[in-house]
Amino acid sequence: MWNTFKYTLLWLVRSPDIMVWALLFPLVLTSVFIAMFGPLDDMAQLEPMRVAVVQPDDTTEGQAFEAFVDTMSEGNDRLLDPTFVATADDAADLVRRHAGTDEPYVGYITLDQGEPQAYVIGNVSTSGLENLESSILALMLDEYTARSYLAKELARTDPAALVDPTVSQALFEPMRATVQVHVTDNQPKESTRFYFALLGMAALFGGSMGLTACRRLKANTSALGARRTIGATNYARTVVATLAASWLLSFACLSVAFAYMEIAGGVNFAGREGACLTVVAAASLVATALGCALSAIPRIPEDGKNGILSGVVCFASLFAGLYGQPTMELADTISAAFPAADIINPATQISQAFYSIMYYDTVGPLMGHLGILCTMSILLFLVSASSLRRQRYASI
Amino acid sequence: MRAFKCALRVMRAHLIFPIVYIIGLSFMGIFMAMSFNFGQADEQFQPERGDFAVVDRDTSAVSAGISEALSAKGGRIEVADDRQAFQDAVAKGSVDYLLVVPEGYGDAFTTAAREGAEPPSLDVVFSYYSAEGAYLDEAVGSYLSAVRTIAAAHPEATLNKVANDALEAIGHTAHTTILETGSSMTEVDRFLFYLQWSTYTLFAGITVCIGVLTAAMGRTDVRRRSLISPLSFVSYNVQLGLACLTITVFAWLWSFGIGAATFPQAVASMTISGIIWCALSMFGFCLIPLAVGFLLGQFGASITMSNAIGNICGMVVSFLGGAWMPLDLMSPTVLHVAQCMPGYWYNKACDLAAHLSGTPTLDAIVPILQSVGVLLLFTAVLLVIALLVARLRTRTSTAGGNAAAQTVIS
Repeated sequence: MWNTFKYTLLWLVRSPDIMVWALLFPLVLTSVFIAMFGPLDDMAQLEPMRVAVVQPDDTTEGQAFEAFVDTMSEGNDRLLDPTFVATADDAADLVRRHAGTDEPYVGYITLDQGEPQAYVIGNVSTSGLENLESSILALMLDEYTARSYLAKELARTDPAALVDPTVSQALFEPMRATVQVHVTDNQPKESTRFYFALLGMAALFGGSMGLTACRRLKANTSALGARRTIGATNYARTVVATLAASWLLSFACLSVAFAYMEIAGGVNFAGREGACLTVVAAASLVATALGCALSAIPRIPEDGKNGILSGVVCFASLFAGLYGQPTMELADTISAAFPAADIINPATQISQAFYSIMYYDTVGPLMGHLGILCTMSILLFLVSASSLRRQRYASI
Repeated sequence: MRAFKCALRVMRAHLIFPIVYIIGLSFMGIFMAMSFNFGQADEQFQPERGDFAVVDRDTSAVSAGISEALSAKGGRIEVADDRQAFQDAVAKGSVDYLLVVPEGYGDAFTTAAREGAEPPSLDVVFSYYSAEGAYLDEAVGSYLSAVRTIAAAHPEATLNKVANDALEAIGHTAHTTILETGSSMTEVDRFLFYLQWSTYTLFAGITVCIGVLTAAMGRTDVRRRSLISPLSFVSYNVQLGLACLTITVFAWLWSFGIGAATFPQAVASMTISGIIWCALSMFGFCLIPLAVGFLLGQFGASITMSNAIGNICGMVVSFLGGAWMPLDLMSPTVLHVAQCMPGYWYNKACDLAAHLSGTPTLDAIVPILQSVGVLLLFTAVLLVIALLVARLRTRTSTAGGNAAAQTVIS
């Protein structure tokens, strides 16, 4: 049994076809992710918005509007980066000239007959960032309009109230109504979700080892399998040793990818590497079992089963949100609408198991995901059992 | 044409690869393009909407007002009042913004407002998209600011009246208009996204299929038999090349056809020349994985290896073409690397072609031609390398030629 384990492991390590899938694939994709998803977290932090402001006139309303813009443009957490221009045409021209450049303007704002108005650019990229910034700008002007309405109402109904320092303070001074707290041990970062989804995909592609292992066990799919069936070693022991070697190598390759993510990618696993490696081990087990189950599909060429594995993994990864920000949002929507879809998707289970480690302060959710992954492995091994058990062949 | 027919029979025996990669993954692209929100045509301003949760322990008019103010800016998601539910909502990204209103908050807030004291704070949690969280937070601040003013100005007013008047005040909004900047997100962008995503489907699919074919036809014994057959070497290679081209043309027609059939509105809003140039750009791109698959075959790559290389390269090319993340969000270094990859030029050509309007002028066509030209250059370089490798390989013992014969004799 030890010899079977040892030589299967050696053969797998020396097989470039296998190592490309199991090791090169996650390393290359992690490198690409490092380059691609770095700006995501920066994007989530809102920078002061560049906005053109038509210089208001010297009336009381104009001065109030200018004071409002100045207030919004001060301090460390300022929201606006204004550029004052003389006329609306100048402002529109400035915004248009900078649209699509590295330093675009969200739009321009003006006070037209005492009413604030915003002119914003439409969406020019699939990121949708322009619409978010435009919405924040519109919301700021809404707030100004509401305050202006309240001031006018008070002047009309109870002018004496306006000279009350408490009222004027409430009306004109900004207020901090909320304070940001964290309910998770680590603040969720969007980019980290993609790394988790990638680990799910990379783990499942390791299923090619399970496929290869099964091919080497069956008498009708490989010469080695044929020799093994007439060998002296107990068949059950051969199966266990071969699958154990496949799992171990899959686990080792995935652990290398995990270490690469942490060291080269700077992904912070918050000192919970031990728990993460437990998930990696469970993910490798599911992948090996998936490969074995696919190998049991009858009347498909052995090479073709690799194609099926790729298709299954690509689809599973779609619902884990791997392919970029819109896919992640789609996966969140599907997950909220059909929670059962998560339970049958191993890629989602693997990435959610990593979430559990990072973001929950109890081990309950992690144990739940590990339980589902182990159940999946057992079911998939059972599917493959019929083709792996000792059997008679009409012809080999 | 026996070699050609034989090559197609080999492909038929491995039909699972075109079914999975070319047909299956194209449906995945269709599904994604249909599901994503590409926004509306920029005629009327539609403010952003985020998902929020309010955990209301106060159940006062003020806390109800907060929920109503937020509802104007997003969709409410129910979250249970316990720590694990909060963690769940934030970790899984089901809410962008989670607000906890403590018991007695409404009374404490209005009392502080009337006394001119610092108002009590609310605890908020932002999820992954903190910009959306900041947007929703601004809406809460706006409402509470109105509550503070009204409460201070009318000390005798009840909590209900203050809360309702504040809602009325924030109902007065500024007018926001979309500036016409010449670029807008339309239905065409949905089709363009599908074409962008197809870079992965086509690259992986064609590379794998060609790899399967060349691996099967390049086996030493098969080559030996081919070399001693009456079929000339040139004719054999031409027939093999035709078989590869047939697979490529099938992948191209299928991918473009299914996209055009699924997004008829997009196709209808494009010009005829725009559609033709999009299709030609896709064909230009398809030739690159054809060359890669052929090159892999010359290296003697197995089917599993072609499968792996096709997938990895397909993902990298689609990544750097901007199919996963818009390239305008990338750093300048990544952008420079992307410009050295075929996905960038394919997407550029499709984007330019899709936005052609009226009768295309030479000035409009030249940039598309340049992009397609770059794609053809990629193909030419890869094919030259493949032919060079093929030439060198004929001298090895695995090629089944003279060297192999010498090996057998010795």
